[in-house]
Amino acid sequence: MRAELVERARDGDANAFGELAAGEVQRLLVVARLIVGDRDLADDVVQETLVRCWRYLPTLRDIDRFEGWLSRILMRAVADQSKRQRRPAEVSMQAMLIEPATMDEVSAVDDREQLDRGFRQLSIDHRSIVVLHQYLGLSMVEVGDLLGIPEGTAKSRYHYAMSALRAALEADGRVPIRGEVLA
Amino acid sequence: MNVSPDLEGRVADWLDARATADGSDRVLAAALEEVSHVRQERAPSSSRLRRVARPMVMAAALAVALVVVAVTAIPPVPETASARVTGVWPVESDVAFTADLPSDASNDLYWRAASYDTWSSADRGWRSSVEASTSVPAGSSIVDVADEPMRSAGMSEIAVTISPRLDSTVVVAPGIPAVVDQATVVETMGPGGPLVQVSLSRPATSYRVTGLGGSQTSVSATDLMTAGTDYPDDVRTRYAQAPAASELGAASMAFLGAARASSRDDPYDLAAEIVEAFHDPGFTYDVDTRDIDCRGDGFTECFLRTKRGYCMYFATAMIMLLRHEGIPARIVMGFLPGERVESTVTVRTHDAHAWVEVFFPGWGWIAFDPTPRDGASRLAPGPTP
Repeated sequence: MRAELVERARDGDANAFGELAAGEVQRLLVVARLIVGDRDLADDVVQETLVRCWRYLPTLRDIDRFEGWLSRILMRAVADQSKRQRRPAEVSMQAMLIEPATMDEVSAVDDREQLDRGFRQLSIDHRSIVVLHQYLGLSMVEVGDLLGIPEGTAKSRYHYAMSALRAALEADGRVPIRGEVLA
Repeated sequence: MNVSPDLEGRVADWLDARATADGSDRVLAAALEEVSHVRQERAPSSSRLRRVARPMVMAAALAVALVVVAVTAIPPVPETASARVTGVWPVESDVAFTADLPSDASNDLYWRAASYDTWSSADRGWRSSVEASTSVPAGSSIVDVADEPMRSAGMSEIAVTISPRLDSTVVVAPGIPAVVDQATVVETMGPGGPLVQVSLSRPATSYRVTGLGGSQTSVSATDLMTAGTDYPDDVRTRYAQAPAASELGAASMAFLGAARASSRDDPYDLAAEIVEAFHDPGFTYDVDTRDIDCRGDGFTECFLRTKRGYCMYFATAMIMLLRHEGIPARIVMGFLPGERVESTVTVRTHDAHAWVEVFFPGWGWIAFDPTPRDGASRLAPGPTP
């Protein structure tokens, strides 16, 4: 029972916290890696999130709101990380360029490469809102709650993020790439 | 290759393909290892915060008084009575001060140095409407002589050691400075009025200061959205007066209209929407605005028409727009969080910054940073961590 684990961890039971953290770590990792991009940095962010979770658990009043509370800690850790890392994350070009693609896969692979590049050009605020809304499927009310902004602001931020991504992809599209003939 | 119209679908597919949690065992093990070291130093319980904060609530009895103060000085406004917009913001990288933080402090602590209530478009500057100063002995409560409304619960309290430049006596703190371990002169807007700034009585190589309720806050957006508009009279009088007619023009009203249209009818929504709109690519952050021709427009109108400026422009415009709507807001001068290496932060002259505080009944002054900066995320109310 997770509520019971949260309560025990809040009261200082380190074993309960270990169990609780084991149940959360995958969800946190997936989201952090999508937003941060660099895997090592994302892993650091999740580690920091779990440590802060332990440290601040005594301040959690409503145990039923643990999941949202933990997500807010994650988003704050992501923001802190982006401040330490002033330069935009390098585009990770790994794997996909090297793997041979069949004809059917070519356009999908190019699409992914292009999105990799475009997404890296977004600010951390914009990347966060796209991942929360598109990947986690959260409503704008929920997204706003996680980021500490009103629903209306979340909507306009998402709108600006998608515009920025579109602009980045269009700029990228001017450079001839492999998928061009297929488009 | 053209961008397909179903960009959202493409992004969703791409995110799904990218999602991975392999290696989670290693991350979990590393986190638990670290947790085992911090087991003894968990967050202070709220009862400790409350014990410190409660006297301040009492001290924050509402007092209005009008006098005038000599306001010193942070770069770029050294030893002057106000913060004026000169058209150039400092870009020098010399060290303004260093700070030693508690190891668990957040990385986004803004350093607060001064606050003013009165904007003069003619002078292009902020000053305090009235001035008074009080000498406070080392270790005595500063908030006992200044009227800064404090919440009783959830208020962050952070003690830091600051090593300033020897030519600067202005006290900086992560929030409202509550106590300094040296003798200080506390400048307020009239006797017992809101805090303008605190200065050391004599220069020192270092001082320890406790900051309260700074940019690290545990207020949620929902709390602020439902705070209402039941402002204390003195707050309304001092901080919510409509700006002079010359300040705002057609561009300002168009901007405000758009912000109101896309926000709900509460002050927090409007403030957040203004911040959001300033992050539109149409606005340009520029540290040199001397070439801008304002054609006789007021300061805010000129900025909202040309959409170019530095922090003083963004902050001043936001305050003028909020005050036009009857929402109490004030400017804060200070520094951005700076560069952190372990527990030491180095803050440089080019980190000098101006931002906005907005008053919410029951919560007091909440910081907003309307200035767009590359790569930085924004001040937003959220959980203490």
